[in-house]
Amino acid sequence: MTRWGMVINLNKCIGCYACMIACKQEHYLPSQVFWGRVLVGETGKYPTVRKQVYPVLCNHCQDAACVNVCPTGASIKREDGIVIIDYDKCVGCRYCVMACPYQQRTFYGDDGKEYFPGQGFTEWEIIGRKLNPLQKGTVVKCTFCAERVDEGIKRGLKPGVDRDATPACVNACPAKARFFGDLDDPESEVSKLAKRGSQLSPEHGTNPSVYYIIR
Amino acid sequence: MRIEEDIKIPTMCGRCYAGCGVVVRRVNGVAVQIEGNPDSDMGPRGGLCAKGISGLQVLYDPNRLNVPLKRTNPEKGLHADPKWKEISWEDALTEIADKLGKILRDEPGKLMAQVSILRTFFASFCMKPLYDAGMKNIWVGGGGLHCGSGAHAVAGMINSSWSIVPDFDNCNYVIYFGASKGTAAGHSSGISTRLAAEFRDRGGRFVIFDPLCNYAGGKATDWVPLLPGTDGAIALAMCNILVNELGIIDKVFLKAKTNAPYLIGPDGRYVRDKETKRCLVWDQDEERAVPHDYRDIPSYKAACSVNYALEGEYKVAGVVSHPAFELIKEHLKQYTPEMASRVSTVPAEKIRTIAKEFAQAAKVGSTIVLDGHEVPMRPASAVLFRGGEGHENSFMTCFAVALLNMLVGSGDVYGGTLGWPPRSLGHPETGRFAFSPYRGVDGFMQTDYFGPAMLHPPHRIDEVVNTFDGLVGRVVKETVHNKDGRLIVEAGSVVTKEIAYELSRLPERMIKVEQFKSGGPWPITEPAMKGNAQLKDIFTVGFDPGVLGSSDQEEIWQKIKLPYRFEMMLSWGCNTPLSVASWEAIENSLKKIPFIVVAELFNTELTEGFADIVLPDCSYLEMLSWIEGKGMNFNYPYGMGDWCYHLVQPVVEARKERRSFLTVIWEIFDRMGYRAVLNKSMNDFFDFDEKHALKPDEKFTEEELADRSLKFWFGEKHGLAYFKEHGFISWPKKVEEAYWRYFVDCRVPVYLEFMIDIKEKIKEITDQLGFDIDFTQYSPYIMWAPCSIHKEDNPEYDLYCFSYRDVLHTGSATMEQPWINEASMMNPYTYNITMNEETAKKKGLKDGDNIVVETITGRQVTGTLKTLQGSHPQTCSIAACSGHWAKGMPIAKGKGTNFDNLLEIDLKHSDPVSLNLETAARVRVMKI
Repeated sequence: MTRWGMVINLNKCIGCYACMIACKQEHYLPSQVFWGRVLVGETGKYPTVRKQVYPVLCNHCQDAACVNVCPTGASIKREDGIVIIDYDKCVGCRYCVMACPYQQRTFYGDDGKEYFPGQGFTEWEIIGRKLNPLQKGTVVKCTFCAERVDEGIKRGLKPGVDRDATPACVNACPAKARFFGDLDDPESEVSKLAKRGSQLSPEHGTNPSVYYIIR
Repeated sequence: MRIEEDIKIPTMCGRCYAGCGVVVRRVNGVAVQIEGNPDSDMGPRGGLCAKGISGLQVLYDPNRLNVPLKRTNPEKGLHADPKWKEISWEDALTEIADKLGKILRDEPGKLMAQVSILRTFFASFCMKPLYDAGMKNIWVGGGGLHCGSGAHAVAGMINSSWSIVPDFDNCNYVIYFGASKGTAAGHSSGISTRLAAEFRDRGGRFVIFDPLCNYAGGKATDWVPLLPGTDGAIALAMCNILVNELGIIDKVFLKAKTNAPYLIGPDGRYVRDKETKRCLVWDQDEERAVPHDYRDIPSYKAACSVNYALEGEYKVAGVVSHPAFELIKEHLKQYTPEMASRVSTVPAEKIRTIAKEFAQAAKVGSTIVLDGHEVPMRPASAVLFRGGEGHENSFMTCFAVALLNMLVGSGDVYGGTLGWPPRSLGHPETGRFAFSPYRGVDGFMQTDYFGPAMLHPPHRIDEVVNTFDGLVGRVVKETVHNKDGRLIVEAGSVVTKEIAYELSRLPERMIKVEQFKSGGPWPITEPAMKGNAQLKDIFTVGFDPGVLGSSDQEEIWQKIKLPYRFEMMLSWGCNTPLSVASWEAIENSLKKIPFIVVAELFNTELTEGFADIVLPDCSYLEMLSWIEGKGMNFNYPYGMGDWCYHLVQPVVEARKERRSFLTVIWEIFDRMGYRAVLNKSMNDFFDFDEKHALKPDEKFTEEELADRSLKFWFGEKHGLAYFKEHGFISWPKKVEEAYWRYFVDCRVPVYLEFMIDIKEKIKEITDQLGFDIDFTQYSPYIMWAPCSIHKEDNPEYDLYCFSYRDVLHTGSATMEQPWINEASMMNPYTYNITMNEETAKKKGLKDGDNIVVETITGRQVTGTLKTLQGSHPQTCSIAACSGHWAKGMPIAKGKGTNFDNLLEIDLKHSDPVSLNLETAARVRVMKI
């Protein structure tokens, strides 16, 4: 079996938000919609302080709370571990938004928010709404760039190795902190790196497919 | 939607001076995606920072300027309404060419230009013809003062480079004294981000001296908070420990690569050979004084056999003398860790530990064989930039960090502190694109190519006195005979070492040689009173003094009897009112200029407040530029990263009436009848030979000139068509280029003898003019001196306020892109004023409070407080270049706090050596 997963090496991450913005670019996400975010904080007391940065995204959990609560079957865990939303089935009830312990889901109301408020859509927003139309009244979130993965595999490419089959946030990271691949393949880079890493808040018991290497 | 086009176009990022290689995807004529170029070492190899990705929102910002605008409201000021009127390009260019032409024919000094630090080389290339037409004054509006007047000079003298960086690939121990390399900012931003991440992940120690634990500090293995402006004291304390406690020093480096063995007489000057005037050293093998270049040192192996004394007392040429190192050793004793601790607040024990770790990590004596060459391996590096050097002790602080590196031999060797390689043996096909430092005056490293040379007037030297070294390799202008009439050298021939020696023995020893194309910081131009508005003629060490915007400029100009005042300013990509200092000072200096022309992407604080004509510029995604790869000693892959030369090409056609500033300048030159000046300027820039040179009346398009120059540099197969298709050209770097230090027989100064001379000369001039200059730091000894922020004794003004480079922002245009703005809003610190949590508590302040930050002179800025533990308790900080108020940038408007208004801008608040502005302020903070 294949289980697509990601490892984020926080030693390398500089908290630059490139992943978050590259995701918005890749999916033509409208203003104020984020499929990935960067959480910034600190631990310790002066002068023994550590800055903490966590780039977060959908964890594509093995035991996904969002999938479990979805009343219409719109939230689906694919065989390869990627959790996706079938917009045609989603009725926008937002149970999943409440259920996700990682707060990674967003209700998309499409209030026509422009990036430059009151100044109309830019050429980029106009073409983007055609290239990746979101459906008004549905819930949206990170797809692990399933479309890149699927298209890439069709072309004989290897996700996590070949850029065209790899999530945009992984490609964009200027610190090369993000890795993507098959967690079930013991030879893959991610499965080796995942052993150095840990899941975010494992106490939620959802078994995320995103791992963090923490120093 | 039918996809009619889906292509990828390779080009170069233009969001900061790092110029990472990027690829832009275009669908049906719309640029939809920007990503890093995975095939180029110029950047993160596929990744790209948030600013780079957000370039699409520069391209498609509805607030972009589309037509030329003319001010109809004669009133100017920070918040004045320009009352724009749209005008045609024809009208705009006619008016500009008319006024500019008159000025150039009358007194070119009346023109000043300012350029952005972003895309430094494009800006310099655009402005170069103006220089060649007589323009005298240009500054890097904003960036310059907040840039590296001290750091560039010292990195130039020590590393023949614009700045310094660790050899992350091979280094194990890195110390930062206020730098942001590796956190998506600074020189070679993308390259350093990639390499520093690897360095951290493989366990490299990252010791960061920084008052703030945010970006660089946030990635430290050891974050060491200190007070601003005290970095130099800590570095010197570490030097003291190395020399006087541990005795860990790289004697080979000091003996062969520095002036540590130069004999110093009782007057503090070099003891020189009576006849040749060459500096003397004590050869311990021959037990006698010999000239500094007595032995050829072409390799590391040769360096190891050099046995010049570093210590002892020698009677030479009738005087008692000591090697410079012996004096330095004694001088350093005053910089105890306890002393450094008192001024910086860093515990003395911490300084001791770090010094010891650094010394051990440097593995002094170790070598590695690379490609058949044995080179030293020094995997320890100390680096500084803005944080360390942005103070009134800038020049000396940079030298203190340089000394720390040199003591362990960490200078352009494997694993150590590197400059951007100043040595290229040339493109493999053409041999062109070649440059190298060489041994110059007094044996010191000298270079003809240094940074964007046309931006800073070259240190022109047409007479070399005192030594013959500087003559080697030069072209002689005049035929020279000796006093018996025997021919020594014919005009036009190249000077060999033998000829130079003979020339140096001529009684007058004044030999005219061809002017350098451009020059580095050594030898220092002799201070003189030539009436330069920026005082660059007097303070010749510095790079970008702030006089063009200073509050005391009129007083200065009256004192130097400047025969003109500015009547016109030409600005590209600058936002002076927002990004320099005191709003009033900048307002006053700009209001005095009757005609200001600005080429810009948006209306900014500069255009709205002060511009008479605004020209709609092309963004980097709409234009051609083939000169940004020509970054001499600055911003290309360092270490063993490949040589890369990238093209900037239009990924979409320029919308509306936008025009590239480059072609606008050319058009203005034609209208003024200055075509011949322009063409000569281009010939000089590209180094064209006779075959390629432009004829005086020849007209050319951007594409034609690009093709001609690219082929000239990289061969017939590599013209513009090649670059358009591939985006860039690269070739492997050689060991002799990357780690060039022991392949070039030259030295760098650890004892600053030149300071004695320039002090005397500057003092004579400034006394005569009535300037009040503190000459304490004009010392041959590398030292630390307190700044005015340290001397403030009013206890009410208890905090040091400074600005920092936020990971999301660079320059002054990044707050306008909605993606970056969204991220900035998400970040807890970016748009807020940050302060230590306990400090805030003591003041009765909490997160979210609206506060005012006020200096003792009453300068104020306001903002919202965000507390954190990772901040020195005696400091507060603000992200640089925020707090926009221009209507033309509605996304940026009102975000954050404009730090720069807290800064005074005058001679008193400048480093007396480099004129680097003090960029921290003593403040009090109150709730509103």
